[in-house]
Amino acid sequence: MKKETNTLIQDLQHQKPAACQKLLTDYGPAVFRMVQRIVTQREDAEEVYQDVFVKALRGIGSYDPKQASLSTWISRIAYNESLNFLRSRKPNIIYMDDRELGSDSLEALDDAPQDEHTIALLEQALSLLPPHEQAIISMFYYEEKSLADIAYITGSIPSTVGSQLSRIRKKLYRIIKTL
Amino acid sequence: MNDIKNDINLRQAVSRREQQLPPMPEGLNEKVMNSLTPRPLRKERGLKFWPLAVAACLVGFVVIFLAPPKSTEEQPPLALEEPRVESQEPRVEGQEPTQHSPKDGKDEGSLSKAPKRKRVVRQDPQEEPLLAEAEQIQEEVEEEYLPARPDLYLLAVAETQDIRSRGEQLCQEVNQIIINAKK
Repeated sequence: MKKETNTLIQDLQHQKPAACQKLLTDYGPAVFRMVQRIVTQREDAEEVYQDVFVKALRGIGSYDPKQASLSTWISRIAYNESLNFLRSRKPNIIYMDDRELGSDSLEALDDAPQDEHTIALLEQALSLLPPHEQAIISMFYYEEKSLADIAYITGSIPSTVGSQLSRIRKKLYRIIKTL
Repeated sequence: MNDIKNDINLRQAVSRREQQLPPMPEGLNEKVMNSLTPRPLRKERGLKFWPLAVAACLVGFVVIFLAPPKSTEEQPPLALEEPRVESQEPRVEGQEPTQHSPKDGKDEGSLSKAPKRKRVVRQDPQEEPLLAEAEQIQEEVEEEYLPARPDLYLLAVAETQDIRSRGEQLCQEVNQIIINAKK
């Protein structure tokens, strides 16, 4: 697998069309998912998706396999491109801020059993989070990425990502109290 | 940390939300491939075309502005003639005077540096008036057609003398001013 990835990287550096096609086929769905989490409009997401691969192919020479896997490296580009796209657009959505919510004790939630009502509320609450927080939660809970990988993608450090996750989770439970 | 990982409700909520995301459009990768492919081609074409265009412009500039007109049609008629130089050797009666062809000489084709023609001595008294008339015509033609070229050396000498005289005059004026100031 590693050898195959190395060959792919070499072929990409030589701008072989077959390698580009393989990159799109293998990594495209994950990239599109990442972009869609942040850029919700379909046309915009497609535009950003295209930009991600253009940037990835231009910057493949600077990719260092020691720092992260190829998928993590592309996810980083996708994350940054999506956020840059949102920043370039006039923000018209107001997200829930931590300060607007109280600081109630959430100790009881830690061992909460699976509850359909809570899941539904959390689903709603997730849509009220800012895009970058949604992306972090999805990477951790859905893609099951490690803190180190999430840190690489978001340009942070693992301990910061851990505390971010804890804070976002508490925030979600505060939001569902207001729903 | 374990609490975060073991949050079943949140994990489930995230999973459901992810499943609601629409799948990737089928033709998107082909669209991306099409947009990626023409770029290098356009770049290569640009790289091939521009040096040629620049080189052509440079050649055109050199030909038009820097190269002197060397067309034989533009040269005065006398320049096309072979210069006749009087032979140093004593001439023998009936023998044609030897002429140096421009191919032998070093000053081939140089109009300004061409040696002034020496008059050929003719001993036949009948030919003398004709020759004198021919030489007169030749001189007239030379005066009319050959452009008056100023001697650069003489010009430089005159310029130097002028500068020198002005310098001396200036020195005198300065000296006069100093003397007046002292008084």
